[in-house]
Amino acid sequence: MRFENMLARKYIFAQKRHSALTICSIVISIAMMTMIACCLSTYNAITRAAVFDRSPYHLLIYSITEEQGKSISAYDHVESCTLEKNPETGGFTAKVLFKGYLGKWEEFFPKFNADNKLGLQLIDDESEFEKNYEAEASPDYMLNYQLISKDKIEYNGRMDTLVNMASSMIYAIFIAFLLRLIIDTAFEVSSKERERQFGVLQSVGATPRQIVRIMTHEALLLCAVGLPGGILLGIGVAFLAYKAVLSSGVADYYFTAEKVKELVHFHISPAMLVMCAGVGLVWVLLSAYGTGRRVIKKSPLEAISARPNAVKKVRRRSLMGLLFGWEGKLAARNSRRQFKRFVITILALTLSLTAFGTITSVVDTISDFMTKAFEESGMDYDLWVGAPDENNIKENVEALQETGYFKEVDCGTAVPIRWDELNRNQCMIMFYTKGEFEKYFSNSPLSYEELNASGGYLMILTDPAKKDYSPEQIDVTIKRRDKITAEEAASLPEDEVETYKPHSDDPKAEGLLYYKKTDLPATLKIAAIVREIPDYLMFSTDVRCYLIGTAEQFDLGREGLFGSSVRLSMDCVLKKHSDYDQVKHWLETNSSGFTLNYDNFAERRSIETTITSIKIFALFFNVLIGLIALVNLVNIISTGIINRRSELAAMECVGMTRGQLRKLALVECLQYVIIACVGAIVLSLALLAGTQLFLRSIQLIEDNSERLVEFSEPVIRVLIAGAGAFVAALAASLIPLKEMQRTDLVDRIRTLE
Amino acid sequence: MELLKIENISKIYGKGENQVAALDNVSFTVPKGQMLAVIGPSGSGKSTLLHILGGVDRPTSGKVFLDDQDIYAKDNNSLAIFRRRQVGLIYQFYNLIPVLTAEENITLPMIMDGRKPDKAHLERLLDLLELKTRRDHLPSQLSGGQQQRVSIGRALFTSPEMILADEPTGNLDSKNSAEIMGLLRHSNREFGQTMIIITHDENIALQCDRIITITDGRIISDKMTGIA
Repeated sequence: MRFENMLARKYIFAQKRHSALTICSIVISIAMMTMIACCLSTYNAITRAAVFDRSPYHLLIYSITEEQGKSISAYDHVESCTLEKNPETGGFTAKVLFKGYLGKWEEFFPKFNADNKLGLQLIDDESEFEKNYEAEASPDYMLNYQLISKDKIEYNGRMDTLVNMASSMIYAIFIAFLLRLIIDTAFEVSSKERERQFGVLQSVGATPRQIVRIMTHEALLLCAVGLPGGILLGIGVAFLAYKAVLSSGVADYYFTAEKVKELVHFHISPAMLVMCAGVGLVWVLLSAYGTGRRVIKKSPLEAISARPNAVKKVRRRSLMGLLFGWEGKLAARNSRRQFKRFVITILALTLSLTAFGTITSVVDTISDFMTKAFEESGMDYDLWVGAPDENNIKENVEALQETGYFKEVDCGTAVPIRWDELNRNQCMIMFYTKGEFEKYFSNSPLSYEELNASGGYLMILTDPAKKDYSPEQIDVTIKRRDKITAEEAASLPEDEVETYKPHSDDPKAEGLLYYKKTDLPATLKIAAIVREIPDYLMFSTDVRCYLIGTAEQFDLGREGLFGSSVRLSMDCVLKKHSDYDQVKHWLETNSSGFTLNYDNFAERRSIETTITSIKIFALFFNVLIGLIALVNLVNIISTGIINRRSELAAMECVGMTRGQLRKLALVECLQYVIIACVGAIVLSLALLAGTQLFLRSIQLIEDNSERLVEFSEPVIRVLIAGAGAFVAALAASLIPLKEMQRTDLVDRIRTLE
Repeated sequence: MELLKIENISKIYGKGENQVAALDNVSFTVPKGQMLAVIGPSGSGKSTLLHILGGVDRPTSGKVFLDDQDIYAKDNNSLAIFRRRQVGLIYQFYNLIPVLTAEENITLPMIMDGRKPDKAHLERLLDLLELKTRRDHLPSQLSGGQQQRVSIGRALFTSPEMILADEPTGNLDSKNSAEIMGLLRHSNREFGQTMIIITHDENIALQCDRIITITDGRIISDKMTGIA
């Protein structure tokens, strides 16, 4: 062993660059595993804390005596038992937390019941526990199975954990495979250069087992630096990710600000770290062992006389050769020297680009769609506030403005009318405050002030039969409504009463409202006519004529003309988003009769937060896959250059310029990126087309022309990500090339000899 | 008429106490068409001299003129082009490009130069090198002797003014050595190329027109063999 250990140490220090590369590979691989483990344990800890916060017990038992409570507290598997006295019954409610492993619940619980003489009526079908989280299984007790499962204190909980772990295995295997590849490459590169030396060692009496041991000893020594380094880096990156998630506000969506402080903490699971270190160590040893086995497959003579970088077969013609001349031909042939690794790197890069292209396109499309839907709905306000005084727009707007909470307060309201001259009588008077008028009727020939001064209405007339019609005034019947009490409504005939249930998010909003219906003839002055319907009114396609008036006109005419038919609601935009909680509290407690009809701010924030969470998870996934692909790409390209050190020197000796060398490196990088980009574009489009067909088949998309995502979207993204990968690959290629060129050409050519 | 003129070439490796002079104030000239052997013990500076003549390694001091042009006055790029067009280098371990076939290896300097290889010239050369049936083989599919012939083909193909060979037969058996020397001799006679051969082997040296002996970086003898 001393011989192997001594040689392993010597090799590590003699091949500093290779040792550094191997350590870096180990660090990156372990860091990725640790990062995933830390994120997972933090997520588990947060969800466990949230469950515990909601229901801080494994078992809740109603109505027990104090003696029974004491008996439970003293029971073997009980960690704590909190008793709360019920003043009505005089009994106690016990919140029980268990510790240790309970075995199968259906076996433990009857014994627990009997041992503590609880006399609980247990349900017959105990398997219900598994199906129904927090199910109220019996009137005597309640199980918090979610917490039991999270704490893994009983058989089914552990099984659930195993099932969850198994379901994530596919993902884990994919990641682990790619990580193993990184370590494997590093060992193979380092051993390749020593093949001849291993042959010499064997020729002077080293056994094949000793050669393998040299490799594994070397791996162990490198792990001594690589494992702690990787774990520290992984924890660091995971902590940064946690901080980024916290600052993004995602947590605020699930918990209140106080709860975030209380429940959302970064969590490191020592067991998971040990597992990462263990898997890493096994991976490294397997890589070293595999490399050692490959080395000893050659006889000492073969190893000593082996020609480095021997190539047995090449493809004569290649697309790269056609595109880039002899540099392209060389690049294509070089890439196939380690064909398996080339294919795996291309695959990893292709998958990474595809994931990036499709996921970001879909997420952005969903985000754009939601934002657009909000904009088009005209719901560009934060809060929709119902007014206490139903008949005066101006007073209500001013009252809200005086609170100082709002940047903008606007109001729009409608009164139905009948205009006999118009087919099917589809007609409506709409009143707006200045802000809304200017926002919706930018095509009006009259300004708000001019319209107000005229005392008339802006007529929006889209009926084709009335295209040459320009009246100065029209005779209509106003469908007047006057608010009455429920008692008054009961005394009137049914056809004279209209009931209305206002939509409201406010608990103190009124229930049903009652109105007395009256048809009131009136002559209305027309101040101007517009024959093009504004976008804002487009959704009411049945209405052929709108009369637009000002808020002041409504206030002036409400007594005599319009009655109290309209329940006024104000569109309010907050001055500062940070005031939201305060404003909401004000509306709920002391708002002088104002009610919150609709909380668009919370709705918008919840959608934004959902999108942000999706984006963060998509980003995390993309970064992870991207990093693995990039490390592989950088690894294969840089080692490819380092391995061909003397070969490139030979080319320089026969007249290759440094510019030509750089072009060769560039073309080599380009071919990886081109192949991966083409593959990723095809895959992305196939994925999107497949998803679209699927959505159409389940009728989530009805229109044939409707697309989930524009097909050009992922293509552009794949190309952008491909450009990034190309830059990284080029750097990985040019840096060792530059480093190499610092060494004398003679020294480099002599390394071959 | 002299093709090559070497003036006070010195090459010093290392610094301070570790300083080693691989070449110490070496000067000589080589007329056009001469076949010159440089012999000497290991570490005497033969290979260093060859690399300096070939534009591969820069001297610490002194000048090298080829056709009255100071080759080390050139920048790196021009020096690469010089190696490509005016010099043919032959190495003991061939230094062929493993992904290129025999034919592609031979034509590589011309392809690098952006020129189209002359097919007739290539056929003649392949014939001369007895590589016609092996033209599409990769270096790994060729014997040592065949690889060295490819390496010679690569050096000859651009018809450079000077061929530099570093132990061209050092890795070959006596039959292959004789064949390679025959080829070099033929090329020297047929195309009038100036040839400088580094060798340990006195028999090889005796086949040349002139022999320079180097020891400890200095020329200790320079004599004609009388073959010319």
